[in-house]
Amino acid sequence: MVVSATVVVWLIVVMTILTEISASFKEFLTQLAGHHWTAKSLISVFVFMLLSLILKNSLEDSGAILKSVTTLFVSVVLGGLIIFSYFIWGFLAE
Amino acid sequence: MHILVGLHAGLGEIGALAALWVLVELLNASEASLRRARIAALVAVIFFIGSWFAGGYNYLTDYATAVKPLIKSGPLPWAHLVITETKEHVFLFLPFLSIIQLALLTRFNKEILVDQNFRKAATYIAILAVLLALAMVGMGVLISSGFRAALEALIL
Repeated sequence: MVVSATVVVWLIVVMTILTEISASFKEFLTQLAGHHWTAKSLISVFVFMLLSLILKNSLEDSGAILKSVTTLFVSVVLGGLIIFSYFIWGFLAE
Repeated sequence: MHILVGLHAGLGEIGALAALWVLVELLNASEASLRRARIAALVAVIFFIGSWFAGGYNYLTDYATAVKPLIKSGPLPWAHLVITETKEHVFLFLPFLSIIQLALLTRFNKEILVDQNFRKAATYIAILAVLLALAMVGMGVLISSGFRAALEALIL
């Protein structure tokens, strides 16, 4: 489940930037759910649930879980900084 | 509009307090404190998801039609172009983090007491959830400030 969350974090980062640089991807998301942000939310939930189901019988060794959580921590921080930096760059470039 | 924003902020802030409660209970873990941490983690999940819905509905309706255009044409356009754009996407991390938190505390409720690795894992997630929730609050303040600045520029 921790791995699922990490994958979803990076999925959100990729979808966020793709939406900004690809009009067709943004249009695809809009057609999927009426608004690109709603689509990103729904896709995130779907992928999280799917991966959690697929990985539900994975090993539960405490060392492995700590490592996964550390990766999630770094992913959230890095992913957040990437998104923030991208929008700052976009704003300054205008 | 104010009700939706208030609901979104209120639900999110209660979720943030619940996330902080989890962290505090983990700092001195015992059976009783972990029981309270699980309750707090469940509260965090429910309230972050509630905030997601309230914020999302506001974002797609009133914010889109009335607030965003004003902020973008006002003196602080970065309040939307940088802060809202960041917030609407980074916020999506938070409900999943809170679900992971609850899952860890539920699945490994006995192991957390005896295994340092499980306790560290639960604590790291708790710290991250609190920091992220506080970042959301801060960004919300900046967005509201951008809206207010735009309104003031219109009438002053």
